[in-house]
Amino acid sequence: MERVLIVDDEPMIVDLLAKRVGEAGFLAEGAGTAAEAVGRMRLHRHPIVLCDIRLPDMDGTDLVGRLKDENPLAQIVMITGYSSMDYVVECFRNGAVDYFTKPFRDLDAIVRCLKQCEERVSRWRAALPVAR
Amino acid sequence: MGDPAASLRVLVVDDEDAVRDSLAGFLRDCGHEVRDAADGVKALEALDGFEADAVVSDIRMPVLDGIGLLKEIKRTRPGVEVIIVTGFQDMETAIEATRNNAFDYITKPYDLRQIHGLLEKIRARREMDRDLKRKDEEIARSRRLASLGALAAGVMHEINNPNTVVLGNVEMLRRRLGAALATEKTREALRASGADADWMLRALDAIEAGAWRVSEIVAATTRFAARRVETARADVKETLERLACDLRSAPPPGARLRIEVPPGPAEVEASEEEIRQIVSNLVSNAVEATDAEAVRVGDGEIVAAIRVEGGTTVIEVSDGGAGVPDRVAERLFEPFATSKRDRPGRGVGLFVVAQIAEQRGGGARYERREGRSVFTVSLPSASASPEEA
Repeated sequence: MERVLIVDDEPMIVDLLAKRVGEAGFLAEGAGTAAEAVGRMRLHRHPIVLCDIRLPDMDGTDLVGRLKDENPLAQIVMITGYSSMDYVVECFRNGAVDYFTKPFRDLDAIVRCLKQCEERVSRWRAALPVAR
Repeated sequence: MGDPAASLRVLVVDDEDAVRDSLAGFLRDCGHEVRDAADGVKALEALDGFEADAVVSDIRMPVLDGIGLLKEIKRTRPGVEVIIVTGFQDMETAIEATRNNAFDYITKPYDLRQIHGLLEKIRARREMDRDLKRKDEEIARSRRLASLGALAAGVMHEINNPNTVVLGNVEMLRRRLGAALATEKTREALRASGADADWMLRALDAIEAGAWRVSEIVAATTRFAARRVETARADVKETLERLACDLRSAPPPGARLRIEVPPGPAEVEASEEEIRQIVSNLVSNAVEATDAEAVRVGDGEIVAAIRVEGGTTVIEVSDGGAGVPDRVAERLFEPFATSKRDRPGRGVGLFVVAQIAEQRGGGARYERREGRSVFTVSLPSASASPEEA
């Protein structure tokens, strides 16, 4: 049961995603600000993150870098709105692995993506004896 | 000489009839609109009914002299320029005139061409002032649009989140409910209590469809609000011909498109994408308006015409549809003005057309002419050679 950190300043969205990924067997934790996200990452080293690109206290693009600082193996999946598509490339540059646009066309697709992330992290852990 | 664009409205003031008449006559020959007065008071009366650009006034006059007239004009109509005609070597008057904001002074005896020269300077100054005023207005409008764009973007972002919640939960709900309602036992039980499983699932579909429509509107508006307006040029004729070609290969039912274009190119100061949006929005609007009724009475033809009228290029699209009632016509170019219950489209088509046209320095309007709806969009024509642009 892998941990997933869900970062979005809209609590209803955190709720929605937590419900869905919970159903798929993940352990979901939410954060409403970048600061909170970094704090929780420090505590629990979530291997998987679902992160909104627009946060009140920091650009999602910058947060990707900060979360990677705390946990270099973290699989970060971005969530963007129509107006933020320009920044998606920036996120990839900082280490994000995928993105989904709001509203979500298909929540199952997000779950499949997270499952892939989970599988990737397991492989890495197996390969690196001192991995967290 | 005689070029209407170069003519000014000039008031000539002198108590000597001969001098006054000869100057007035000369200035009229130059192409200016001229009135005259014999003294300061008569001059002020004349100005009441004559919006003069400039006043040429002698200094020594009965009742109210040149300086008195100058002061009064500068007090009540500061925009009017005054040229004072001073006596030979009369430095005091010259200084007095300048101190009271005369545009300039000229000493007797003078060459009529000097006056002509001064009036030319006044004309140039006024043109510059008009240009500056127009630029100020453009900047103010740009700023307003920029802040509107930012507001729109913010609002769209805000709507997107709750809409995401609606759609996400509907998706999950439908899955759970679908599974639960699949068994005949459950459906029976529901029917017994007066509910209908299929109706419930259809209701969820409707909610989902509605929410997706919201997101489409958000997407369209966000894309539009994020535009950056840079200098551009594109050929409207090319765009229209391409659109007509596309439509010929897949014609909408009943409607026929006829295009009228000038022989040469029709370039305007707008980007290709903007022109494409204007032309295609106008034509699809016309297609939507051409309903079965219009086709039945033989008015299924849509006409798209391009006319170049000097510095303005006009795109006119007309259809034989029923048009809209007056109160809707007033707001036709606002977003979501018309109800689109049975028709496709997002309600922003004409709004986008009007916004682009206005931002580029043109405009859009709608009128009914001889039983047809006519949409006219005007855009500034691009200058003759691209190298100059």
